[in-house]
Amino acid sequence: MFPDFPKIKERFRAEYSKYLQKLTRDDPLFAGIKEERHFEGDRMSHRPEVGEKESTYTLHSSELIIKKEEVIEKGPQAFFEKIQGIADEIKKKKAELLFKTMNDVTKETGNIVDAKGKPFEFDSFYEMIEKIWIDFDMQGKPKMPLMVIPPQMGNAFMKKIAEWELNPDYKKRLDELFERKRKLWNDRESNRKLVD
Amino acid sequence: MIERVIENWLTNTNERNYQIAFCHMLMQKGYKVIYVSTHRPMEQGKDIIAIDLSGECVAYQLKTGDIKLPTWRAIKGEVMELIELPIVHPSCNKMKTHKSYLVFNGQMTDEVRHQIDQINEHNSRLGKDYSYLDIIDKNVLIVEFIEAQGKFMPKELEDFNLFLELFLANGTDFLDKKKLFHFLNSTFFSNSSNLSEAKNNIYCSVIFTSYMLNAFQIQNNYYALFEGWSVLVACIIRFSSKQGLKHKDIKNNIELIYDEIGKNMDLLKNETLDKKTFLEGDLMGDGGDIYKARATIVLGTLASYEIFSSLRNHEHKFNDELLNLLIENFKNLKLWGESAFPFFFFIIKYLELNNESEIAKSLLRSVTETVITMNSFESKVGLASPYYSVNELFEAVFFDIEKVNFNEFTGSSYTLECLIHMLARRNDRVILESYWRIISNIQFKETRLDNVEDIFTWRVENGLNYAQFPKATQSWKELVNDSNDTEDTPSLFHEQLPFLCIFIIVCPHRISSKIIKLIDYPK
Repeated sequence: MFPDFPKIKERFRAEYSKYLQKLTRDDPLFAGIKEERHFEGDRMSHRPEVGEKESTYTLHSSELIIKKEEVIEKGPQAFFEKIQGIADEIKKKKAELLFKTMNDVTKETGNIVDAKGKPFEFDSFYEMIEKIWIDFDMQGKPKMPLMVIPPQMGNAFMKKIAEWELNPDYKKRLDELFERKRKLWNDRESNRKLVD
Repeated sequence: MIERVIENWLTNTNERNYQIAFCHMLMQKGYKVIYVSTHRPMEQGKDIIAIDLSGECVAYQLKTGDIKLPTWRAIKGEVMELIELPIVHPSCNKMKTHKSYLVFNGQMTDEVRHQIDQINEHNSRLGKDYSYLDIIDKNVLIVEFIEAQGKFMPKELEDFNLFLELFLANGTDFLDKKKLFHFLNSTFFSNSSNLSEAKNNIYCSVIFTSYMLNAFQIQNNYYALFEGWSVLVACIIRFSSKQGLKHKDIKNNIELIYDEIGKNMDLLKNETLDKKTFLEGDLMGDGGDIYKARATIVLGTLASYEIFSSLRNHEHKFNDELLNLLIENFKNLKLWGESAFPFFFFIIKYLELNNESEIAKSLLRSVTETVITMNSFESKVGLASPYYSVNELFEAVFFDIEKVNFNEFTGSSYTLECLIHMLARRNDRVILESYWRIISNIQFKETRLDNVEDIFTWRVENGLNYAQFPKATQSWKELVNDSNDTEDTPSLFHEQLPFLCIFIIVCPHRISSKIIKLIDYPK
């Protein structure tokens, strides 16, 4: 072998990895989702309200093709130039897994609002909010979850929200709903106590 | 613990790599090693020929691993040559039957042992004048090597730790020369009371160095092996100088180590000529400056070895393929700091010796210009001194810029005087004329050691860090005279001139205008 620089390469690899992780997390979809590292084991579990759910890990990877000539010419920059593409592909796979998991879970729990092909109207929106768990801050404001909307629906949906906000009847119904949700949250939080 | 280390080394090594340790083990027992097969194919089945304590000639054939029936069948022809053909050497009487040993770092199956027994018995029964074949297997080798290392088991925790760190090093990385120098000097080369003890120290140092380079042998890291063996030669030269040993007392040891260095250089050369690029290992982090540094190291080292070989053997023929590769990779050379200077020096020399003077001149001028501009008084970022290795500098530049203060190097240089003298010897005053105003503000630096033999060690306590400005008004004639004046060069440098060619590659901080003068135009 030729003389090599393994310690320096190790550092480049660590920096690349760190930067790639930052890019894959740098997305509104994932920003609100907490990530944690597991150092050992080959599966994980969590406890919903009833039972225990075990699951295995899924590998997300992306292929990086670089010509030797590019490496010789540009050095580590050749890898960093392609990192955004890698990050985008990994994010896509993560998102696919996220939505698949959400689909599976909501099918099981029945937490689905099916508009049955009809346009998305206020009643469907109301039904959706009614089904989800909402937390509130100390000032009583709701911590609204992230809504993921297909890009083609984005503008239309924002228009509808604006219209519904101007409708006094819709506003009253939503206010009453949030009040019920706040009470539910209060009850939940009050139950977090140590008893005899 | 040491026994485990020796066993581990023996298990993982091959005959090419344990040969030198085996030779030194024989020498330590009092044998005289008169022939070792190195670059040439094995002659008449004999890898090593020695004269034992009773004056008998002994021939050894070395093999790797276990000897099972299929292996035996494959090597039987060579083994028969070992025992049937007499030793052809002036020191051996062809009329007298020699002793023969098949040496291997594994185990032998009973079937093979039985066959050897039958061969010996058959030859004896028929009255054939063939050598009796004996075997030395791994178990015997372990015992022999443990006995050979004798009292040199590192006793102090610090030395033992150092030994293990070297033994367990990452074989794909650069050799930690500082640690190797320290271990060898403190364990083997501190002091000895008499010639016999001094020689014993040297034999054992060679055996131990084989162990410590194990990780690099496994990875075929030829450059690290070249460095490791060169460090040992340096330690032996320094030690023999301090102990008052004569050249003849260490000649055999040094020659065997030179053979080992040559073997690794040949392997590096073949690998360089076979591979199309200088990429190595994980591509992540490779390329760019790393690639250029590696190309510079490999090509510069091969050039230095060619020049070393030519100084030892005037009939040495330079390699045309290497020359073509040098010219093709001109744009891939990198002056990362002043520790790169020796590589450039030998590349320039090699080009000149192969009649590529114009390319050599262009490279010499380019290097000189770079040193002048980067290390000028007004510069903000200087070329690091030769005390900084390429690894340290890359780590600083890529990740921790605070680690090295590049501003410290401006206004001085360890290599500029060497470069100026090189240009003067070539009667090339163009660059010097245009840059003299800047040059006259750059101090020439040098480490002057109190004891001349201390040049052959990593660091010393006793020495002078000398710095001097060149003359503001410099006579060209005087400069040319100075550049050719080798009168006050220590005799040790003259004696060790060929070795200096490879030593300054390994220890670039030891370059000085005196040494470069000697190598540039040896008289």
